[in-house]
Amino acid sequence: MSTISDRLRIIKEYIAPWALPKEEVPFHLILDQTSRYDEVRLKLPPNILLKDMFNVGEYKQIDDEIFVNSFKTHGFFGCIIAYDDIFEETHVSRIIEINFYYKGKKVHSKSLKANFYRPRLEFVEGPEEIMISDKVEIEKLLKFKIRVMGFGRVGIKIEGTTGEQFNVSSEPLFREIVRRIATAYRQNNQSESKKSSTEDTSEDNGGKRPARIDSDWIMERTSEYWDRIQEGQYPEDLGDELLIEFRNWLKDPTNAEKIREVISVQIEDIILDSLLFYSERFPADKVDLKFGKPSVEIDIVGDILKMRYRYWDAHENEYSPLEINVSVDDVRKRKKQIDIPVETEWIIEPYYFEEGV
Amino acid sequence: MKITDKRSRVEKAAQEVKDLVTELKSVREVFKPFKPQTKAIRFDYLTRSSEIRVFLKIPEGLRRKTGGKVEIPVFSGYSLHEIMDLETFNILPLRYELSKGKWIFKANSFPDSERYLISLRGTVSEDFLNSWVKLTVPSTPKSEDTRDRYWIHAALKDASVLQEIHEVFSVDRVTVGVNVGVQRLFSSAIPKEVEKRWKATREFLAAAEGHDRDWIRKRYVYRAAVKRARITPVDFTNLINELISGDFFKPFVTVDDPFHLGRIEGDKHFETIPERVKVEIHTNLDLENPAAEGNLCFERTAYDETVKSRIDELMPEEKERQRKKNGEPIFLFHLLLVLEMKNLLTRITECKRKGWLNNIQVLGKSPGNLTPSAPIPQVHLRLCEKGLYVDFTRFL
Repeated sequence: MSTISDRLRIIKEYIAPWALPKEEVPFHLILDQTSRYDEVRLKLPPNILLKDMFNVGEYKQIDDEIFVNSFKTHGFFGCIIAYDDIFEETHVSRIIEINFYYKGKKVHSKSLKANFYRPRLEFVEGPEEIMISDKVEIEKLLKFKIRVMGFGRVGIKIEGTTGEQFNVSSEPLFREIVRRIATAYRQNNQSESKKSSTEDTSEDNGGKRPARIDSDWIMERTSEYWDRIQEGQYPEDLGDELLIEFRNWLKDPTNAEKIREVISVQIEDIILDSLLFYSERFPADKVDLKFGKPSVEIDIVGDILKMRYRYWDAHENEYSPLEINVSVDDVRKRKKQIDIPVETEWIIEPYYFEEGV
Repeated sequence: MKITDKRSRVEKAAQEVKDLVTELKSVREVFKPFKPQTKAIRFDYLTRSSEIRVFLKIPEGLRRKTGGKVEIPVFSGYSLHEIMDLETFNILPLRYELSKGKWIFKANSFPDSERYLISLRGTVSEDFLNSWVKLTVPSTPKSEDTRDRYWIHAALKDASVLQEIHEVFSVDRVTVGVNVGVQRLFSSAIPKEVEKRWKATREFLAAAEGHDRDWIRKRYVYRAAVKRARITPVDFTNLINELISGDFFKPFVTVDDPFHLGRIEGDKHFETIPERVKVEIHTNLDLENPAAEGNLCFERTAYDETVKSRIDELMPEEKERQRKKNGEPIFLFHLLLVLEMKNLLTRITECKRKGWLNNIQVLGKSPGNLTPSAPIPQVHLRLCEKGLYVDFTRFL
């Protein structure tokens, strides 16, 4: 790939061996000090973006070619590039051509190969149709097999709807906190004088609370969640519980103390959920269910359940989601909203890099 | 045709480079009476500081001339960090007065030596360092059998700064210590039994909170699960805190030359289980080596196994149950000991060091008199709640 010139000698060359789409790939060349060159021209292949340069002063870009005439010191030169888009294949490579010039004449040519990889989800099997009856075991209804291919860990969010809009879920800890405040609100409204659930919990643990978490951490979280509630942030998947009335109740300053108390008292219990959430979060190697174990809400309207597996790589690139449609046959006597858990079996396909990486 | 003229980002830091060189020149001026020789100039990426080491000669005559005082003018950006007596290699106590823009030392607080090494420290702006040195690490490792590998690349974005300093001060070497925390995901598995116990707890609590008819059954499941896996979230949180501590983590992380490992610490802002561990990496860049590349490896399988065995230690009942279910796996250990009795104590010590056997106890006499020619004795091991018991009474 290189032409030999006695006037120019490359002592060391390096290009980072792998990257995700849009992630930075550095490369550099170290040349013998006696090497003669006064210009470097860099040919950028399609989709390759120049993000920065090492040891270079001013430079000019004409279309896909970079002209560098000013070097900070002689003998060292490098760049940071990235693939500017999401690609379809699990691996693409691009050749960066670097040409050295001396007094307008090309004296050396060097090529470096940049490799980019991505993960991919593929549907393997799952039901085309489900029947919801009064006797059906809902845990067994939505079972899918999904293949995880390509490179890297994937963050996955599973969503489903029988209507037009996919539900947006917030992270489980915050959702759980608001759910519990909603419970406190209901109890408050019904003026029930029964023992609070927290006291029940303490008793059944022999007077010992299940978790003792760092109090600073609890205070920090309490104030964070309090701020978020005050800003009007609510997990939208809480459904009917969050009525306007409830929102107003939350905003009423006279209820502030009660809400804060619910947050700080209940958060320790919620840690349990959180620990479980963690173990459910990584069900297989490479798979990160960021938003916990999913379930889909089947509304009485609509007979098609649209499911989608949204996924991201570690660089926060979101890929086109995997979409699955399931027909719903609801034969229950009394039709009401139902929450169906989604079970996924992950088939992890090992990924092999190009040789030499 | 689209033509664009560009300046690399480093150009923007040019003024700061000029200021830096001017500042360094003023340092040299300050020490002029002492015939300064700049020995080293070092920039530290993490602490955003620079350190200059200047070799000074303070002869007796000069001290007399200054009326028993050694005066060093204060200059912007730097403070006196350390003075070393180069004849005894002792660090001198820094007792000085600050007066009219000068550090004044009493000459008699200086020892008899004439040669000193003065170290000055100053701060360098983050912007400047970021536009001067760049460290890149991928977000995703390459998984290789038992470990995760990340490439590391560090390079000077402007080597002329070093060159200028090098030429102006004729120092042997100007180095940049690239010292950057890399936060990467190192997750580990939670055993199924622990998971079951938490799940039962959650369901039980939810049932207790509401009016679940299944409450009695859930309470039973909960109690049974607790009995099997006595690990509580508190135990687990404590354990995790231990597992991500630098000391515990360090054996599982390696870096290639020319990089070196620095501190390792877990992310303190975690919901429950820290997902990221911060690893500091050092390397030196200079004119000869303006760029460095290498790998950071995390021994994933070994870490996972160690984590699992630490969790097992927290679950003695579970261990006992597994032992019964799997047909006395401890027997394997028994055989191993029979075959290699000579190495018994060495092995036990090793197991203890690795944290596999925390509560091991030896019953009866210690087999201290065992020699390679001694007949192979029988060993009886007993596993109980508090740990592993080795019973020597049966064979001694």
